[in-house]
Order: sequence, then C-alpha cells, then structure tokens
Amino acid sequence: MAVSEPSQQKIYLPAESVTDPEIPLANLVPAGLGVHLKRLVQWGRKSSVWYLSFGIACCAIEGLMAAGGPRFDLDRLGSFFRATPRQADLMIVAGNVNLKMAEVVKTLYEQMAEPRYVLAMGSCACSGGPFRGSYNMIDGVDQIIPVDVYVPGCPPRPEAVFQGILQIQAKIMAQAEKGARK
Amino acid sequence: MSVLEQVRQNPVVDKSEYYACLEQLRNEGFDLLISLTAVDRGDSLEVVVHLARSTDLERVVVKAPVDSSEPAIPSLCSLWPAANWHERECYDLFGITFLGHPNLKRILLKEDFSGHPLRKNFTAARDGAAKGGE
Amino acid sequence: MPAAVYGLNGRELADGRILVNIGPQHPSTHGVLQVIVELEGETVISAEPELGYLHRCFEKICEGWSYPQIIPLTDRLDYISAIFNEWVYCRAVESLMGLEIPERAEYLRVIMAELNRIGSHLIAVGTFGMDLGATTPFTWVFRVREDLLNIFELVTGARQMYNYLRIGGVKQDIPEEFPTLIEQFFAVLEEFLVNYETLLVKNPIFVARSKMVGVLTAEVGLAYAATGPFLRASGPRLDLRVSEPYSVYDRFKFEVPTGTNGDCYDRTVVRLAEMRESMKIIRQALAQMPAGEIRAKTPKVLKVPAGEVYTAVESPRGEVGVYLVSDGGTSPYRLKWRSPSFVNLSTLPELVKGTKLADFIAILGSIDIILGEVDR
Repeated sequence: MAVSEPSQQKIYLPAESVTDPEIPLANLVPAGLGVHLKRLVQWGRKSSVWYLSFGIACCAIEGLMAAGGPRFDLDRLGSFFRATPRQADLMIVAGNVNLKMAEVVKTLYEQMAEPRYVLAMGSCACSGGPFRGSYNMIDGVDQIIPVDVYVPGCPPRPEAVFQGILQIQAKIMAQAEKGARK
Repeated sequence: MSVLEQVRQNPVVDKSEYYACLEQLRNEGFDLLISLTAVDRGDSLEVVVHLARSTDLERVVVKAPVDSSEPAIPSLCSLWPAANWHERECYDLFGITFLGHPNLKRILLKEDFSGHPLRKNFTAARDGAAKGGE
Repeated sequence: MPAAVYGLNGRELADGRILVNIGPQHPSTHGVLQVIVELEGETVISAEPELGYLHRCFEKICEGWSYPQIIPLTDRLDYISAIFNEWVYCRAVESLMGLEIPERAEYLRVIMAELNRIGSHLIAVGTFGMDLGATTPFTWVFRVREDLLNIFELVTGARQMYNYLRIGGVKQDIPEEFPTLIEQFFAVLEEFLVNYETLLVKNPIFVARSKMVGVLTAEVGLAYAATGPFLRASGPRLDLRVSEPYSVYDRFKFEVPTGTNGDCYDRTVVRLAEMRESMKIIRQALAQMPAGEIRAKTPKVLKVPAGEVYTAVESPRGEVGVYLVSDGGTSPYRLKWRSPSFVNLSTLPELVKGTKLADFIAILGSIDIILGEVDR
C-alpha cells in the first residue's frame, strides 16, 4: 500500500474518515489496520439495514407488514422500519410506480443519506409486471432510481424479501473489501 | 307514466332531460348514487348512472349520450354529493365536462397528462413521459 | 397541485392557518394517499385528498385482455380481499353468458370469501390500533393472519393473490382435512377476538380516542353512497348478502351487525362482530355443502354475448361492483369498477372537518381504504 509523503497528507478527523469511502484510511491508521476498521464499519452497517416504511401497493402487505410481523420477523436481521427517509438505509420499492408517483419516489431516494440501497420488490417494481406498457406506468423502478437487488414475484413471499436483504448485506460487506484493496 | 317506468323501458334519455329525469328519480327515493361512468360508443360518449334505493335496494340505470367532440352534461353534485368524485373521474378518463361541478379537475392522472385514456381513440404517447419526474 | 403544495407545506397562510401535506409517503395513510390539510392550530379546517398515486390503468388494460386473463388482474385491486374482486367479476361474466354454477362451487366461493373477509377485517382492526399508537394489536393480527394464510395456501396455492375463482366455478376443491384446519383456526381467532376486546375495546385510552370521533351520520353516509361496515356503523342495515341475496347466502342464518353512533369505535366493533358472523356462515356452509362438480363447462375460447350488466357483491369494504359492457368479442368492451374504497374515501373531507389533527389519522384508518382499489 503506497503511503504518500507526510507533507502532502491531508489531516482528517477520524469520524469523517470512516464515513467517507473515498478517504484512504491508511493515512490515519497504521498500514494493515485500515482494512479491519473498514470491515468493522461495514459490519455495523450490514447488521442494521433500516428500511423505509414505504408501501406502494400489494407487495407492501407481504414485504413490509407480513415480513416485519411476528412469524417472519425481519428484526432478527437487524432490519427495522423507519418512517422517515432521513433515517433509512434501504428503500424497499414494494409496488408499481406510475408517472404521478415517480417524482415522489425520486425525492424520497434523494432524501435518504448515503450509503443508500434500493430493493425492487415484485414484478411491477422490477419490470412493470402485469401493468407493463400501459399509459400511466413506469416499467420498472430502475428507470428512475438505481436498484441494487431485484426480488421478482407477484407478490414475492416474505422469504424472498429476506433473501433480497441478505444480498444487500453481502453487497455491503463486499464494499468493505473493495475499498480496502485500493 | 312515471319517470321510473319510462327509464325502466328505455334507460336512454336526452341530454336536455338528463338532469330533470334524475332529479325526479331522486325525489322518488333513489338516494344512492352507486356509480357514474361513461362508455365510448364511437361517435358519441354515453354517460351511465347507476342508482339504488336504500330502503329496498331497487336499482335503476339512466344513460345519456353526449357528443364526443365537445362533451358536456349537467353535474349531479347538487342532487348527490357522491357524484363529485365520480364526475371528476369521468372528466379525467373521458374528458366529459360536467357543467356546474364545484371542482372539476383531474383526479387520478397528473394535471399535465394529455388526452383521456378511456376513449377508444386514445393512444399513449409514452416515450417522452416514461421518465416521469424529470 | 402537489408541486405547489410541497412549496407551501408548513407555511402560514394569510389568516394564521397552516397548510400541511400528509402523504403519499406517510406511515398512517394506508398506502400512497396524499391529503392536503388546512389547519388552524390543531384543528382541521379542510382536507383535500389527492388520489392517483397508484392508478394502474386497470380499466383500459381490461379492454385488451381476454375474459379469463382478467381474473388474476382483479386480485390486484383490493389486494387484501382478492376473492371478492374475482367473485364480482366472474358473476358479471357468468350472468351475461347465462351460465349455471354448480352448487358445490357456490359453497366453496362463500367459504373462501368469508375466510377472506376475516383476513381483511383482521388487518383493518390491527392497523387501526397502530393508528392510535398501539403496536401490540398489529403483531397479534399478523400472527393470527399467518394461520389463515396457511389455509389459503393449502387451497389456492397463494398467500395473497389467490386467483381461485374461474368463470363457471372455482379452480380446485378443498382438501379432506379442511374442516379440521378451519376449526383449529377458529379456536385461535376466538382467542384473539377475546384478547383484542380486553386489550383495546375496553381500554379507556382506546375509548377516549375513538368514541364520538369522526362521526358519520346516516344521512351523510347515504348521500355519499357509502357502504359496508363503514356505513353500517352509523345505523343503516345495508348488506347485499341480506338485502339482495346472491349466490347461496339466503340459506345461512347470520346477523348484520350495526352501530348507533357511526364513530371510529362503532366501526371497529362492527368489524369485530362481522368476523364472528363470518365464522357462523363458514360453519353452516361446511355442514350444508353438497358433493359434486366444482366448475361448469365453458368453451375453450370464451366469447361473451353482447349486452351489459351491473353486478355487485358485499366485500369487507362495502359494495364492490362491476359494470360490464360486452360487444360479443373475447374481451370486454368496457369494464367499470365500482370500488367501495373510492366512494367511502370521498366522505373524508366531511368527516374530518373540525376535528383535531391526531384524530384525523384515526378517522382515516377507520374508513379502511385500500389504495389499489381507490385508484385502480
């Protein structure tokens, strides 16, 4: 790992350095320890993926209510619903987005703090579903916001949503390794 | 022959008699406006009103054809408050103007949506609109 | 309108009033409803619902799809009580075709529909508790509902979108162990109802938050053509199962629960009582059900004779109706969906006038709307 000359180094506060993935941790901590620190941070993130309680349509009953309910209990993955986008890490787009809804979804996404993730739940959010191609629909939410994980189904079972959230967790952990290798 | 019997025999009334006919039905106890909608018959639009009486659930249908180039018909909001949203929906999806409606604007689609989708000649110009929120 | 309202949100109007925008993303709007509320202090001066955030072009899509294809699409309208949507649609097509339904199929429809009514009311009372700030009922109803969904999964193969009815009958028969499972589920449900009543209905906080809140008088309810438990809580005994008996409903003995005040409290009590009545109907139907065919013979390519019909059934939210116009082809010429949620919601501006903002959420929750059906 190349360490730049001390005179050119910018001094960062520790708090900033762990939240901004662009800042080389090696500048702050002894070589080799930065990887572990990064992993620790990402481990914390992956264990508390809080999702926005934002049910658009039918999928909300399965993906947000039943999945969060007592039998499936999404809480055990560390995921809990937040009512405001400012506190949420993950947006589960549970339903179809039409032209009127598009700007709302976009605003909500922009209000979420980074790093943020999007899970497209159900056929409608993935690709338009049965309503694909009709006059008022957006065929897949990936046309307006970036999507990390697609969970197909109409509606997907809560187990499928779990698998989607586990995929998001895997992605978060992979980001730790990616940042560390630089 | 009472209005009810007339409508039973032939539910189609002229646009000019539409309001008076429904007012009489209202006075005959049809207090529920179950639904108000339209059907595109090609050369004309047909406003279809479904009424019911809450006492015995007697039902009746009234239809009134309107010209499809500039469709307009009196509003029923003064007879049944329930007509308010039904007429707004009808205006939104068919483009029928309800004269005397207190708040006639689109209810389901965006304000700037062009066209009235439930008309048979409607073709969706979606390509420009698909990236909504731009 | 919305863009302008976002700009005005929270801003004081000329006479000291404040404009507040609720929704479409709000934990208590039961979907993507937006309501623009004008407040004077805590008091609601006016409320204007803004719909259309879930408008999915259902009626237009139907004009291009074949008759049997539309059945699964109707599931997605009122997605909590899917069987009723399929039922009213199938009845419309069947009555135009003049199709005779086997008796066993009618009983199966009644049984599945009443089970679905229980499931729907469970969510209604559970989320209403949540709207008042009580989380426990929500977790309770979802525990009970999972037991119900197991039964649905066994019979229909799906948890939520059943696609169970067919034009002329139902998809498949119930398994042999069905009556036992039903009795097991009813035992769980009975326990839940007793617990819910102890915890919530007799709870002084619940009573204070819901008694005489959001009063719908019978006159206003009828003027807006409101239906279902929402209207029955105000007094009128209007239930299509009794006043216009369809299918085999005239063979069962059951009560139509009504309220007196038409407030949020009465609506909840009526829904709880309706669950008990549904249990009665299912028990009678299982006892009476004859053996036999479950599906009438229909042609491979379904053509419906030209004509038009309006049919309605009593869904958990009220009168859900279909106005079907056929030109003799393989897909509808026009299909209009009369949705009870849309109509019931139109009373909201009347209901909330002069109430406090906190009660507004309770009133909205007590109407029990499903946005998929409001916007279609």
